[in-house]
Amino acid sequence: MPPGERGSWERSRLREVALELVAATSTSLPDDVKARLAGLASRADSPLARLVYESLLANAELAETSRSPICQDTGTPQFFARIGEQFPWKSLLLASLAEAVEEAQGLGLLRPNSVRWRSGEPRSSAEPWIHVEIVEGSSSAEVVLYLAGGGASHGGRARVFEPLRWREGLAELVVRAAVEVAPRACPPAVVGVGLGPTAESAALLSKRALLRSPLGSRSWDPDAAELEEVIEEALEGLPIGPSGFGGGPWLLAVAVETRPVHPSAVAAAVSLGCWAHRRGILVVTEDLRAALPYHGGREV
Amino acid sequence: MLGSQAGNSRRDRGLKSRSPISWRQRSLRPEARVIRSPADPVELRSLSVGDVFYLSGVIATSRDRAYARILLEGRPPPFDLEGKAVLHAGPAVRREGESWRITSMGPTTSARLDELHARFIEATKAALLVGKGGVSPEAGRALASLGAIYAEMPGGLGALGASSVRRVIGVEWLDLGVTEAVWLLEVERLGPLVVSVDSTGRNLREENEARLREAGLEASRLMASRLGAKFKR
Repeated sequence: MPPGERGSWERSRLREVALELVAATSTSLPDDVKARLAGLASRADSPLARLVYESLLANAELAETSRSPICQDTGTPQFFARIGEQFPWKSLLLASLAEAVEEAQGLGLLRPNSVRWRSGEPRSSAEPWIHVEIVEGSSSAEVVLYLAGGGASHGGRARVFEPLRWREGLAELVVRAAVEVAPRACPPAVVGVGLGPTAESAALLSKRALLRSPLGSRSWDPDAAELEEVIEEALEGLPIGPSGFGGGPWLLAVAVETRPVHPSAVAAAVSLGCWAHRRGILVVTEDLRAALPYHGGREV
Repeated sequence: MLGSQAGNSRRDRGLKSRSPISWRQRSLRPEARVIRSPADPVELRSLSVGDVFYLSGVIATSRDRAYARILLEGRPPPFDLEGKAVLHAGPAVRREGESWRITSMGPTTSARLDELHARFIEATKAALLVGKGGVSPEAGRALASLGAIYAEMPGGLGALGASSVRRVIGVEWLDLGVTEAVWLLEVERLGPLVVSVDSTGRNLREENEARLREAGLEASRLMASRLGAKFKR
């Protein structure tokens, strides 16, 4: 073991793999997202919609080969960590995520997007959101990173309905997010819907739905899968189109995540995602071998 | 502050050095028109809603905070924007010694500034605005009455946009952060761009939005009735 503080090799190794997660997520689309986009592109009708789809695919390819961010709006990085109970480097891993974001900003792989809520002044430090779950009986860790711009965030909304009224309420909530926000949220869009007992639980579930992998797959839960189908059928015909220009498909995927609700409260939430569906996942073992399963399974 | 798009041989972790990409490689419509900035007013008037073009020459970025500084605080624009194209954008950048590299630059949503576009044109004498997502019917008419054009770049084309930057001429108002600062850039074939408001005041978004509102009401009814049937009370 090299001289220095305990864990110094582990610290730099975790920073290295966390930076690789950020770099891969910002500069290349996951394999399933590329395939889905190419599928929609083949269904574009108007010359303008065809041009948009060609541009999106060319941009994604150029970003990957030149290792530059697909979109300059890299959002507020959101990490969803699932850490094994026996994974020995829990707090080092979490610290490395914030450090990697800061380093990526210096390298031009992320845009600094943290500003003071009161004045809009830029803040000097990076402040990613990190959600953590502990997984029983595991000694490895998985970290999902999601990057999306401010435009997509405008689609986020949550409401709490009385049990007799959630059907109409959910329909209005989802369709209004699509009609009012999706044209400006860089479609083709991903629509994530969450149902739970309270507004914030539904909102988190809607983001988890948005991050479903592979994109376009149905829920394991037959009720949620049925709900996905109803929502998708109602939404896909809306004349939104790529970039909001109409003339072609606008919906990349619909996914629903649910939890039991309260007898008197059904909370529903929507999260929208843009076409540049920058979702990455890093898997780290206890001896700090690491891979990026959404990006061809490449080891880092 | 001076800037440059030229690379150097510094340690290059996380961002491999790039070979220059010619416009032929990234131009999706090589036959489309190229508009120069500063722009020829006669040429701008010849553009119609839906036309696809590329932009070459000297352009500046401006978004929320720069608009506010110029229009609400009354400060003069940091560069001469007369006749030029202004891109609604906040690029991702990388500092390389004394110079800057734009690593990603696509458009931002123009509608956030709908109330201010016409005043921005009056204050800066810019000729052409480029952003994404369209502008409101009122904002579009106000722009047209001043002889200005508004064009859209599909959202998220950050890598394509950055590859069109030949040189960072300068940047001002960096105290607002790199996102909100005003960047003066020399670009070659930035695009593809689509005319969204032309000099007659026609607006690409206007007709589609009315159609979308109606379709939304229908979709909402359809979804509610299917949910009622499938997920019985």
